[in-house]
Amino acid sequence: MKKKSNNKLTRRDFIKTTAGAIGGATITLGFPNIILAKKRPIRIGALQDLTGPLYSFGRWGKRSVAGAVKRINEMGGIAGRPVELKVEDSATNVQKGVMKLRKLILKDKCDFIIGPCNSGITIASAPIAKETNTIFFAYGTALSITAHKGNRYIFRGINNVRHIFKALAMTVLKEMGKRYYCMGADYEWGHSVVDEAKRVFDKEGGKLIGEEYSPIGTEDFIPYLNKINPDEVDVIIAGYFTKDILKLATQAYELGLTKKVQIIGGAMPTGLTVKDLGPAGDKIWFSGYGIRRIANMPEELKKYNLEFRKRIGMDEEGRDIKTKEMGAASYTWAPWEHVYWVKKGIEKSGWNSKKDNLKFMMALEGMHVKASYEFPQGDKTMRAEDHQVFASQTVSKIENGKFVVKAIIPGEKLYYPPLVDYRKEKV
Amino acid sequence: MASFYKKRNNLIFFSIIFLALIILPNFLGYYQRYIIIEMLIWGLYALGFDIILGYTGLLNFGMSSFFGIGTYGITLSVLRLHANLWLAIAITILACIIFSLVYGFLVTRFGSHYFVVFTIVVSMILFFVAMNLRSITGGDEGLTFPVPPLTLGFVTLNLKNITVKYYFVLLICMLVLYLVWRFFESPYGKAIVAVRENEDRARALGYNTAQLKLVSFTLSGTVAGIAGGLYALHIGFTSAPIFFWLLSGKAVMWTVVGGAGTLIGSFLGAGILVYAEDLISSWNADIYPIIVGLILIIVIMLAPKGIMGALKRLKKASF
Repeated sequence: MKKKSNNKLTRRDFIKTTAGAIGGATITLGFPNIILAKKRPIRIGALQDLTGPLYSFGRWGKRSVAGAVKRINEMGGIAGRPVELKVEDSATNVQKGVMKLRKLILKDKCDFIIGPCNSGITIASAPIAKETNTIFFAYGTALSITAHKGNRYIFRGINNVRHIFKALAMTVLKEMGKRYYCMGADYEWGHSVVDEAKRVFDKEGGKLIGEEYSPIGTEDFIPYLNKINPDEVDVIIAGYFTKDILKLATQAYELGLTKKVQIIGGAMPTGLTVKDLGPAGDKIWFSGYGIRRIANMPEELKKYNLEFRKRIGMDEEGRDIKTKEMGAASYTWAPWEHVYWVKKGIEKSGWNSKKDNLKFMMALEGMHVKASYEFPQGDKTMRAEDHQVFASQTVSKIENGKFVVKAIIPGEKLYYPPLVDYRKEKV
Repeated sequence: MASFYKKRNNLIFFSIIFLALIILPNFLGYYQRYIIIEMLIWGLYALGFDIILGYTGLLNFGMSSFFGIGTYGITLSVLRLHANLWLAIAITILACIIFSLVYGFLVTRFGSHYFVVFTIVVSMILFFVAMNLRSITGGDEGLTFPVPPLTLGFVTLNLKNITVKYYFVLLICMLVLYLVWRFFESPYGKAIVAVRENEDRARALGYNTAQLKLVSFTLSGTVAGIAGGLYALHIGFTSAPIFFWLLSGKAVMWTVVGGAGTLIGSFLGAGILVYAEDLISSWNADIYPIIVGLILIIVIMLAPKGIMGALKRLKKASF
């Protein structure tokens, strides 16, 4: 039998050494990663209006959710668990929206849903969220979402139409005159805007001169505007968004109405530039959830918003970095922050699976968060009773071709009594 | 004799599909069952359209009106009258019959072009009325309602349970399909087809064509309304946009793809397109409308009588 040389590396020694080295390296370097990889990911489903009338909101909403999920994963996930994102298109359509919601929950096994901007889909989703024990974050602004049409599973991380008109009432309404005329898109949000406007104006002693609704996408507002006598009306309340507010304002300007009458747009003119609005823009007041231009933001929010915008591909003016197309500026924060509400809720409650949803709800109920990279819109509180966020609201106007912020009202000043108390609901 | 064999073959074919659908849920997950429920309901809705287009030759572009009446029939019966499931279904069917009868009485006397325009206008009027009567219809925001349990004698079943819902929807769809098939196999049904083929000749033969069209219109509307009622029970929600004419366009698309005048083609067309929509829109939301457009163009070019028509042609060629 041949004796083995001491200084020669045999095949057996090589295998032993290599195996030992690999084993050692795995234990010291790779083991935590293997453990992490074995943990079930937290699945977030984004149901967004990627096509249909609200596609502009949906596409920016998708970018925001994806940006937040990517950032969270880069920083080690939530409670050591990676986050997986599934995206579905609601097509701004209730039937399709609820079908896709079921798909996200039942097929893709999503733990949390970041819902669309469409209020109708959100309302139809509320009973499904309850039935399937799934927490749903909404950013439609119709009041009823966090009132009688919602439930304990629904959280809203954006201000609603009541906040919009409260902010206006606190700042500019008194100077505008008392005679008002309401116009709105003939769907839930448009009606909600008009209802709130009436509530606020009536409190201030206002006089309703008329009320009109037109379908979404109305091209010709002249027949509606012709009914308005500028000698009898001080303010037009316009519950429209995107191109509809542009058409209404332009046609009101062409009719000479804006010489005497001011227009209050329900929210920021999503997807429109000042140039788009033209000279008619000077007569419109907006109340928005956020500030479009970085230059108009309070100093303390700028760094957070620069990072946030870099992540979602938006420039300092609120446009797409590549295409320069105007984004849905004030509607991009909520979907991003919704992902971070999920993170906060999980971390505070120790949520592990849907079985812990009640703990998660209780953790978010009444939670206050500070302005940060996670919450770039600013400080806010998730009210315990109705799961409605209270954040700052901005009143702005176009002056000399630029958006000018006239007032920023902090969330706590926008208080109204809760219309429901979801905490009484059994989960 | 040939007719007997044809009828027997159809019955065997129908039974095989029914049996397959009974066994199918055992092999499917929750969501697949959910999708099949959708396919069946939309198939039933398209069947309503097939009755009026495929068997009567009238292009009703306002099918969403009946579907909407059906959804609101169930919703309002449960919410306002606190009706149980069977009473809500009975009220809905009755509402659909009355609505279709009155509507049909007014519209079937018009010629083809006026008929198309009239049906679109009525569906848009209903849409705007529903949007504005928010206190009753919930408008765009809609109405949510608790789906009542299914009581069968001493047994009470929860319709929210996906398996219970699957068999409930399947049973109703198959029952309606069978009854419609039997109707069009009857002499009265054949007379309706005669109106489609040549109304003047049918009238010359002594048929009351106005009455035949009215009966077909009412049957079509009632079937679409039942589909609407099932849909409301399926999702527990109804809103005004259900009346919007785009939903009528879907009935046209599904029936054309499946094959008009074949009954089963409506289920086939709705099934294929609902599944394709679900699959493709998850993959890429932008591409879906283009693909559906392409499917329509291909079907119209290669199989003008839809998939069922192409299958029949293949069968004839192979024998």
